[in-house]
Amino acid sequence: MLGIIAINLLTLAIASGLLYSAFVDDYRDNLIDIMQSKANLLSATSSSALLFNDNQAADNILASLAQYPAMRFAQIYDLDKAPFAQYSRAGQPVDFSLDTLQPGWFFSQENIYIFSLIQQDNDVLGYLLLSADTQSFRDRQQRYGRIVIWVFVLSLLLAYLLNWRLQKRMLAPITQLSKLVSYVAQKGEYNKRLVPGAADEIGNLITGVNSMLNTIEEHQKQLKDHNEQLEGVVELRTEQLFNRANYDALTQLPNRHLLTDRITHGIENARCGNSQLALMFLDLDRFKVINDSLGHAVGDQLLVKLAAELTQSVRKNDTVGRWGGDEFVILLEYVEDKDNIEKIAQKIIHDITQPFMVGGHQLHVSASIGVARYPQDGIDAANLLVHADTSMYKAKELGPGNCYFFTYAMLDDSIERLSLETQVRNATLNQEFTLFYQPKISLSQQSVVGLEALIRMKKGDQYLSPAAFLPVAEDVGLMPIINLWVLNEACQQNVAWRKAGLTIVPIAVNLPVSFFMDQQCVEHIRRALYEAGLAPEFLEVEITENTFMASTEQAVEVFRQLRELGVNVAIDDFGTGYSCLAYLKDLPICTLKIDGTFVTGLGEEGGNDGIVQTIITLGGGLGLELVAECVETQSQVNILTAMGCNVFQGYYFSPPLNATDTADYLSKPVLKLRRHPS
Amino acid sequence: MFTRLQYYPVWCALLIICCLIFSAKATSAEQVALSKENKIKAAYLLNFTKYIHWPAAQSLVSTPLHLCLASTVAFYDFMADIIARYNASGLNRHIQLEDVINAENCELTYLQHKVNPTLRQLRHSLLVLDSEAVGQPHNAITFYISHRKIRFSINIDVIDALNIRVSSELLKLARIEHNL
Repeated sequence: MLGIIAINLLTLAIASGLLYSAFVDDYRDNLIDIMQSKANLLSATSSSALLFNDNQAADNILASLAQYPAMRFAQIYDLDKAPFAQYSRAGQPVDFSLDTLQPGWFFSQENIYIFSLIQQDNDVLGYLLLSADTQSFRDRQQRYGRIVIWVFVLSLLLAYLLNWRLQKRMLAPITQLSKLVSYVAQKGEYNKRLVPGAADEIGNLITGVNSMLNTIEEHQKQLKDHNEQLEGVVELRTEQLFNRANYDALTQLPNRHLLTDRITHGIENARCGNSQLALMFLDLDRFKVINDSLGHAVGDQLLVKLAAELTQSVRKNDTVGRWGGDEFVILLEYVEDKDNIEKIAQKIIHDITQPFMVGGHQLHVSASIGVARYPQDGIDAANLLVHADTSMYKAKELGPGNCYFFTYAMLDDSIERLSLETQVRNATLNQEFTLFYQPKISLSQQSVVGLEALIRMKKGDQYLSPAAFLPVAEDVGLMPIINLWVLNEACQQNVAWRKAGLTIVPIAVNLPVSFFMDQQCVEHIRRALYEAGLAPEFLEVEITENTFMASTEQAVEVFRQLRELGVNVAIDDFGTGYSCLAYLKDLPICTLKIDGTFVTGLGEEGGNDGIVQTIITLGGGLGLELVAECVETQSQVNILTAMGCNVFQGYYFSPPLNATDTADYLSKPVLKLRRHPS
Repeated sequence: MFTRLQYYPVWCALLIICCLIFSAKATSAEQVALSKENKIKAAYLLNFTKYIHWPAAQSLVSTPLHLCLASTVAFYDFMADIIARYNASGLNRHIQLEDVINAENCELTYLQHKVNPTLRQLRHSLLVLDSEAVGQPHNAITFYISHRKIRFSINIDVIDALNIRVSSELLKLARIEHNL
């Protein structure tokens, strides 16, 4: 509105100025014309007076100017510019000299002056000077000024009224549009519409806005539906994320995160309630064997069933969570004393020893449990978890299915174990292992019929036994490297002895079940033989019952390939496992090694003579060679011989020897079938 | 506004008039002897031609205006001199100066003395008398002295009878007379 008024104001001002200027100029030109006409008339009428020197007549002519009030004076001059005739209104001086004038007109001091020549037939007869005041011109200027001002003001008022009316008429729909837009912007609702009205630009605009609102409303509706859908998805995903963040995907048990929270919360409750809390760290024994032999799918199903069993075994308010792999953590709150905890632990151990049917397999598992208590063994979740874990390892050392409570003395063992881990890593890296060889003696052949390679690790001037460091190597994942090293070293040593001129015998190498789970295991053995240049019959592989128990079909296939290759397969520590005897006849093996624990008690009351006799009878019946381990006395030799066992291995004949001593042992022409002097 | 070129005719006219006056003075001893009054009358006589319009047949621009004199020789010569210059400008109707006695036809006649009124050449001539003392009848214009200025009277009736038109400009300067 102000802009329009300003434009109108400017336009009117310019128009008024031009009008005023035109009026004034017109009047001035008219005045000049009139004066010029008067001068011409006077010139014409006074020429004869000049010609006939009749100044009286000229005066009379000029006197006629008296009727014009504005006329100030008039003068006629002859050719010599001498005054010839004159008219002057009273009080009006003749204020111009002819010498300074040029024919024409000019304004000076609010007067107009006309100076013209008096001529006849192109002859100049004299001069005429007229002067009139311009009061009428000024009056007319003022009048025109007032008129213009009035016109200007009235036009402005009219323009304002018309603009106001026009603007009101034009702005009404725009105002409605503005309110609609504000409503939409503030409320976010698109249901209102405007009536288009006239079919002009504004009407088109309203129609366009209505159409736009229709589109937006439709889009909003779609967006709302989509949002609701998305919110549902987000809610679901949030729940899934929460579950994923807090629960184990496989077992649906609380995971580490939620477990830690609950432990922390439980500790807080125990602190406030001045109660006790126990944390059990449970690890399945030999779960890796099941996983590697039967596959991860079976392992996972076992874990699911185990989780359900654990949940059933504990109290309703206790928390069972999966820490990772085959490790579970059980939080027992408000426990009374150690005995109470012990009972719960034993119940758990007992419950999970019940066989699980998984994928058509009947699986027997056991677990080792480490227990740490609040506040005795730690005051925060991290400490309790570490201490329970440490206790679990201690329980494992006691054998499968044990429970052990944390003591601070264990921390020293842990440190020692950590140190041992470092030593094993360094030994593997620097090949600081060495092989000792324990002969197998055949009394019937009166000769050494084989050697068992036994690994040792150097620790200063001493050697650590495999039982001390192999579990650590297994835990830290170094066994594949150590296995290959033992295999290659045994083959190369045997070739070295042969090249030294010794009569070589098969060297038995102990390979764990994990070795045979590797699809390349036969290839590893073939390559070791090839690279060493050793005939396959001079290599024997010793396996434990667990190897074929874990994965019978795969084990049988590997053993079959080894047999085809020419490598002997022996079952070590036979009698300690749970192997199905029916499998023995189908296994492509050639040797059974009777476990030393059975041999040690032979001939003694409460011994294992019956078991040993059964094993020997079984092996003999299957056509297998029998080897008795840990033979340390002549009595044991006699009994075993009487039972039908002819091959012996033990300190009675020889302890494990280093390579040099073994070479000496093999080089003796007549074997001394006696205990080694050392 | 006027430029110098525009003023050229003015200055020329002034120069001609001055020359006429000075040359008239220097022409002869007789001219010198001519009075100022006669000179003015001579000039007035010439000016009359500008305000008087003879009938169409007589006032053709192509035909000269016959000015006849019955005057002294000095006046005649003076008149002849200014007419010669007047004619020399070529801007006006040619004036032919003649002695009234010898002229065949006079359109304007100036008489310093009375002549035979029956002269054929005076039959349609506008007569200008040097003064009332000349006593020539049918005079149209007569010089007289008033307030030491030379003035003239015009007889309207004579003018009308001659079928001659006199400019109002001239009439307003003259003393108008009628036949009684």
